Amino acid sequence: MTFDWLGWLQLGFILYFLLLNGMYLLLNVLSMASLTSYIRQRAEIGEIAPYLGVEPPVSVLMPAFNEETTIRTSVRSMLQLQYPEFEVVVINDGSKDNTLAVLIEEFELVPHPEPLRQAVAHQPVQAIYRSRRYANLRVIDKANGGKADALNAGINAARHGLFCGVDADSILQRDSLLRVVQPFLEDERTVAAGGTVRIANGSEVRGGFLIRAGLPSNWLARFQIVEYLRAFLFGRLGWSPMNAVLIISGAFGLFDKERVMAVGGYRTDTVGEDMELVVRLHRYHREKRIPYRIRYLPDPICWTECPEDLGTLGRQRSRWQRGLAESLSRHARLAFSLRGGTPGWLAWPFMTLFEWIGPLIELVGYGFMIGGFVMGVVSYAALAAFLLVAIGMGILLSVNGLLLETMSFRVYERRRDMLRLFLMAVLENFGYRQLNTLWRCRGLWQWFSRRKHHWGAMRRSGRWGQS
Amino acid sequence: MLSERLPACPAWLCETSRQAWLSIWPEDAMLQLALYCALGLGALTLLVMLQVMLLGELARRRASRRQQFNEQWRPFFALCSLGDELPAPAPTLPRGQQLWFLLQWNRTQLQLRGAARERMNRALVALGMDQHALVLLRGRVRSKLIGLTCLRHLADPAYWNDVQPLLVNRNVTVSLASAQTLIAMDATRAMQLILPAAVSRPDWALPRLASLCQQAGEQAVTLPLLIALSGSEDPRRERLVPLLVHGDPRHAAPWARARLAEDAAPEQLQVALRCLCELGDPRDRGRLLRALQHSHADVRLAALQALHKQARSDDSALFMPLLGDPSWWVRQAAADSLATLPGATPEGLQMLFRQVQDRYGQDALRRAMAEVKR
Repeated sequence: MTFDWLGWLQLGFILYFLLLNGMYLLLNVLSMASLTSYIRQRAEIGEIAPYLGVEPPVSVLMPAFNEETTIRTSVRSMLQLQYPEFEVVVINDGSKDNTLAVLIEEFELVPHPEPLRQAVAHQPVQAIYRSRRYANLRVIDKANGGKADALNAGINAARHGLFCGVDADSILQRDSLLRVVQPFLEDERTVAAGGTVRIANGSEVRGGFLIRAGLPSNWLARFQIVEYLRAFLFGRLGWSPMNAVLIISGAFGLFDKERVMAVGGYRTDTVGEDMELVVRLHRYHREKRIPYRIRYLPDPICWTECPEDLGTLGRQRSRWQRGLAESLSRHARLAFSLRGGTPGWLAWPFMTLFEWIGPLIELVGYGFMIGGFVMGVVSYAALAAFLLVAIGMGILLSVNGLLLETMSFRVYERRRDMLRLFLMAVLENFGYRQLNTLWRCRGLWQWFSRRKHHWGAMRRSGRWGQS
Repeated sequence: MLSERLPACPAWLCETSRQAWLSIWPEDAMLQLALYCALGLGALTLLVMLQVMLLGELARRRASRRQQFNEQWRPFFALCSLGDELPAPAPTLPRGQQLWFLLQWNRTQLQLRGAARERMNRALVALGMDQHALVLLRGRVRSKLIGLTCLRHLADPAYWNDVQPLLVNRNVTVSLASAQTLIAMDATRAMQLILPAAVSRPDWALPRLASLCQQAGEQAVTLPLLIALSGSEDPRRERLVPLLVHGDPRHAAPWARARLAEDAAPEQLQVALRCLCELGDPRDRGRLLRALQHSHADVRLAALQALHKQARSDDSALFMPLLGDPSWWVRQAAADSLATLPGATPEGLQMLFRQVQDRYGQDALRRAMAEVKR
């Protein structure tokens, strides 16, 4: 009897795709339950996040590298946040453009002799400035060392017990800090909380604030909106009730400074320093048996500009995949430890199987099925079954992302916008998703070949800076 | 029969479409299954999208009705807050919109102060809506919270018995909201209930309790808190120790001095030192100086801050050695104390700076001097 390996391989790929999408659907159901409970709770607290008068002070850390077009607007938007007590620390990580000059001119910076507590290591600091216009704004000018290194310098300079890492190309909704701090007030075990990141391309930004959310004319940006909705609203929300969130976006996350210092701050030898830190926090608390909570909140919104050209987008996705691979491989012990808990026994295997090696299996799957069909090895029926299931489930999952958005926040209020997003949810499965898989595989190759990491330079439109 | 009476389907229409369907429908069983799956997924996707559009439409309509309601009632509320009499004629309030009324009323109350709030309260009672707020207390969580918020604004002890049972509600948000409402009615009486209950409610987060203590005021907090701390053997009571900083330092001082005398846990010592810091009694100086030698850096920091509050111009000798403390925070606090000593001058500070041997101490003092100049 001959072993029909081709048949089994076909079946294997189809089963993998079914399992992948089935797990995502399950996560989607969990997210829906979690979101419903969150929305109810928010309705209980009230639409407007309340000041209790006991909110702990927060240091907003903003690493910047070649951000001269947007830094003015971003810093100004940070300074206008609704929060009782906070400071903004901008860390200029050896920018080669006029970032520092723009900051000095815009905020009337003057040198300030300030000793930095060397709790976590980073590249040498060249100067520290304080603003003569805003008492709570400081700028640290340091030698280039990457985003993680800049954040470490910020942690050393931070004066408050909680710090919020924010990308310099992002703008926060005014009450974001007030909302993201709620888990720290509600549960003393909270060590980190992350918020949702949304795409601001096509939206109206004025004076550092997003006035009206809209859709961009660029199709690549529109695809990414659907992708972000899916990634945040069920990719992360579903894990939060299980205390198994492994990713808090570097664009917006609030951390307990002492706990971050206890784990050694951000690692500078990885591109996915945000995820790496969260996984390390999980490991640290589990190994030492310290009760902790890491939360993801769906509504403290941070708006960011996404790439609108294939080159930049491809580089960004490769970098993300490399970061994911680095974090997961470095902390494989979390999964095999007796104290791994839900992050180790559930989230880590899920991420490994579907996010880390997923693109590779997907690529091989596409290649095998299409190549096999061309060579006559794979039947028409199997190819059609594979494509119908893969694409059909992909569309359903993206549309579910839209449902979660409508159920909860309705950032895109217009009917026309939702219909356009529906169209994007369908179309992204014909080309864009496959391209993404290719980029992610490139990221895996870069991780495998140990390519040197660097700041992810992104081409900016600079539209915010002009607003 | 009806089918016989109906005209037969023309062959060019029925037969052709049947032939076309048969030609595309696969014979392969696997492909048939895949097609069924795809059709199912497609139908499900369309249903989900339909739901998206439906929910969006419903939300839009609700928002528009709510907008209309608010536009109708906002001027009425404005008039209520201005005059002692209920403005006439009052808009009609359908039963289904009573909840919206209370929500809008609660929101308006947040924006008002003093007499305007009192007038709004009177208007609410005159319209009989306080009774609706009481009805809401028997509803679900959201209704309970709206009712409690309304009664908090009214702050009338007449409703005490309606609110008090909710203090032991299993839902954290409801129990804390009822605590807040009881405090608004009678802070002293409320804290006598809340603080003993807090010992056995670990789900009441400390920052929320601190917020309640702030709202109640130190007179209402001190005595029940001291009783809760000393009158119970429950080890969970220790959690409440940090709340003492919201109490009256004069009454908390004996407790604080006792903790310092028995060399309690560092967390308790910090609270004790913060109480003495608030009190600022020079007779505690000896205790503070002893705490300055404690091995725990946070205790030294708290002692230093307490000493700073009662520092004299000749106390520089006290703070100078602390510039070489192993703790970064203590060095910074010592530098701040030196830079802000009564009568400190730039020249005097420069002289002190030259005397500092420790490099890190110099850094700290340089920073503090720059901050003072600012």
